Amino acid sequence: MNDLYDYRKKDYPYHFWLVQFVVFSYCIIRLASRDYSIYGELPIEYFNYTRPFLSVYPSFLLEIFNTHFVYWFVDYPSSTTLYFFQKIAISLGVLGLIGVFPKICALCLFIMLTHFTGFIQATNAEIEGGTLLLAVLLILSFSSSSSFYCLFKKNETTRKNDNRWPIFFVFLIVGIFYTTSGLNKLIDVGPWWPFFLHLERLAQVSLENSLFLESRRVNAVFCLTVLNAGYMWSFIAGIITLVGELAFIAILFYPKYRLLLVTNMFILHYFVYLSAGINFLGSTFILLLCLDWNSFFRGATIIYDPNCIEKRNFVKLTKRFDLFDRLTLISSEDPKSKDLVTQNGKSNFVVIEESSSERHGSHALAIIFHKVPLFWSLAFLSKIPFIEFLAVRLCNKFNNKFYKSFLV
Amino acid sequence: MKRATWLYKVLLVGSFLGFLFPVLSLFSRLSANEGKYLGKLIESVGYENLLGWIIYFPSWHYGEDIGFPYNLYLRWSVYGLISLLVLFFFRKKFSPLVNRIESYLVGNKKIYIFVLFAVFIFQSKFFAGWWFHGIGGWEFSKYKSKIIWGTQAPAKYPQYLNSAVHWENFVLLSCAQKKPFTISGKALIAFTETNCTIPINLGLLEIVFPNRFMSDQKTFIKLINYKIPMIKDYQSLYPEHNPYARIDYNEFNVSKITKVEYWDLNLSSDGYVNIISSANMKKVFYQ
Repeated sequence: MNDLYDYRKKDYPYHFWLVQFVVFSYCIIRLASRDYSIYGELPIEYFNYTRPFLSVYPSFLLEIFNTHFVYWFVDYPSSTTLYFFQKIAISLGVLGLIGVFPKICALCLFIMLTHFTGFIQATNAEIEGGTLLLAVLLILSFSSSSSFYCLFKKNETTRKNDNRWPIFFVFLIVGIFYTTSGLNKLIDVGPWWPFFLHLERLAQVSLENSLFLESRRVNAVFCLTVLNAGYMWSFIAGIITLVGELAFIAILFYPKYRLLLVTNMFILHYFVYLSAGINFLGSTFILLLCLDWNSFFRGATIIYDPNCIEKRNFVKLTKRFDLFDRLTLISSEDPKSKDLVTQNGKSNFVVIEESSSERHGSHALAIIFHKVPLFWSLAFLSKIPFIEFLAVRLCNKFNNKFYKSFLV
Repeated sequence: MKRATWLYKVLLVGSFLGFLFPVLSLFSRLSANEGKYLGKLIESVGYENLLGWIIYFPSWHYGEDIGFPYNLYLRWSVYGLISLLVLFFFRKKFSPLVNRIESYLVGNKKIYIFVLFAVFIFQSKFFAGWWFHGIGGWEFSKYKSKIIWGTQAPAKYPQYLNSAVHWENFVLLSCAQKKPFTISGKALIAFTETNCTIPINLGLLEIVFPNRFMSDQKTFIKLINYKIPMIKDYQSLYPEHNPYARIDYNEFNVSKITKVEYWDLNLSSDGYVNIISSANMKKVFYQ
C-alpha cells in the first residue's frame, strides 16, 4: 500500500479543475443531445418499475432515492415542464463550467439528472449510462468551494487537502463501480463466465439484426470481425474483461496500472457500443479523470550520488530539460538530504514527490519522466505492463551498468 | 455485535436483506396481477395446494411487463446467504481487514459514509436510483442465429419497404455465408398526411428500451407524433444509451404521422442477388 493515493495529503487544484471542466461539459453534451420531455407524454400506468434489477424491493424505497417521491403529492409533469426543466439543467451546466456557483450547480444537476433517470427507471430501464456522472456530480457538490476554478477571478493554486480528497473519492467511486460489476459476473453467472460469454453469438445476431433499420445500431463490419474471430476470441475477451473489472479498484493503490485499467475499460465500452448497441462511451470522460493528472504539476526532489557518473549525468540531463522547473536536485552528500530520506541504505538514487513518500529504482524514474516533457513518452511507456521487464532485459543486453545503477 | 465496526455491521445487515428480499420479490411477482405468474407456475409444476397461498402475499408489483427472473434472484439470495454465513463464522479472520479499511476511511466522513452506502447496496441488491450494485453479468449463450438455409421465391411487396433494409449490411452478411439463406426481421414505416413514407425505428422516441410502448396503439402513435417535429435534432451530439440504426432524416419535413405500419420481412440471398422474399403486415397503428 506504499503507492496508495492517500486522501490525507495536500495537492494542487489542477486535477480538481479538470474534474469540474469534464463533468460539467459532459452534462451539457448529454442534456443537449437528449430529450426527456417525452416522459410527459406517457400514460401513468407505464410508471410501474418493471425491470428485475429495480424491483427487488418495493418501489417506494427507490422513489425516495430517485426523487420521484414528489409524485406522491403532485401529478407527473407535462412534456412542456420537462422541456424547460431540461433547459434549466443545461444552463446550470454552463454556469458550473465557467465557475459561477459551481458547487450549487453540481448539487442541482445531481438532483435534476437523478430525477430524469427516475423517469427511465419508472418506465422501462434501470440506467442510461450516467451512473458515474451522477456520482461525480455528488462529489463536486460535497467539495470545498475554494477548490473550484472560476473564469472571472484569480484562482488559488496552492497545495491543499481540499483539492486531494475529492480526487481520491472519484477514484474510489469509479473503482467500486467497475469492481462490483466484475463481482456481479461471478455471482450472476459464475467464475466460468468467460466460457459462457459467447461474443461470437452476439456478433452473429447483431449482424443479422443490422440488416433491418428497425433494429439497434451496431457496426456490421466489427460484428463480422468478431464473428470470424470465433469462440476463442470471446473467451479471451471475457477473461480480460473479468480481470480488468475485478482489478479496477487497484487504481487507488497501483498507479502503475491505472492507464492500463482505464484503457481496458474504454475498449470494453467501445466494443459493447459497436457490437451490442449499448452506449457507455460517456463513462470514458469519467474514466480519464482516474489518471493522476497532478503528477505533471507536482514538484519532486532528486537525491543522487554525485560520485556515480551515470546518475550525475542523467540528473544533469533531466534538469537541463526541466522546462517547468519541477525538479530539485540534492546531492546525497549534502546534509539536507539526510533529513529527507530514511536511512535504510536501499538506494543512492531517491526521488521524493510532493504528496508522496520516497521512491527508488524504476518507481523513481517513472516520477521523473512525468516532470520533464522530453520524457513524457517514457512516462507513457512506463505505464504499460511488461515494458519495465523488457527495459531491464534490453539494458542487461546493451548497457548493463547504466540501468542497474538506477535500480540498486 | 459488541465492538463490531460499522463496516462489519453494514456488511451483515446488507447480506441479510440481500438473502431475504430476492425471495420475497419472487413471491410478490407471483401474487401480482391476480396471480398471472402463479397460475403459469402451478400449470407447469403442479402443487396447487402447496403454492396456492402465495396469492395472498402482499405484492408490490403491478401492471404489465413484470419479469420473473427466478434464476438471477435465487443466485442473489444464495450469495446473500453465503456472505452472511461467512461473515458470521469467519468474523475473526475478517476483522483485521475490515478494521484497517475503516480506520483509514473514517478520517473523511463523506468518503466513509459513501463506502458504507456502496457496501450496503452491493450486498443487499437495493437499487438506490443514482447508485446501484453494478452492471449485471450478461452472457449470450442463448443467442441463436435466425438464418434459415435456402432461399424463398420473390414475392410482391410495397416498394417503400426497400427503404427499411440496410442493403450494404445485407451484402456483407451474404458474403460471409457459404450457402443461400433467408433471414427474418421487422420494418416500421411511417405515413405522412400526404401519404409519403419514411422508415423509422424506436430510437426516435429517445426512451431506453422502448419496445413495451408498441403494445398500446394509441400511446405509440401519440409518442411518434410528439417526436416527429424534432426528428432532425435526434441525438445530434451524443447517442442514446441504446441507440438505434441511423436513418437519414435530413430531407424529411413533416410534422405529423397518420399511420405506422409494422411489417414482418424475410430477406433471401443466394450469394449474388439479395431480395425481400416475403413481407407480411403485422400491425397497423392509426392515429
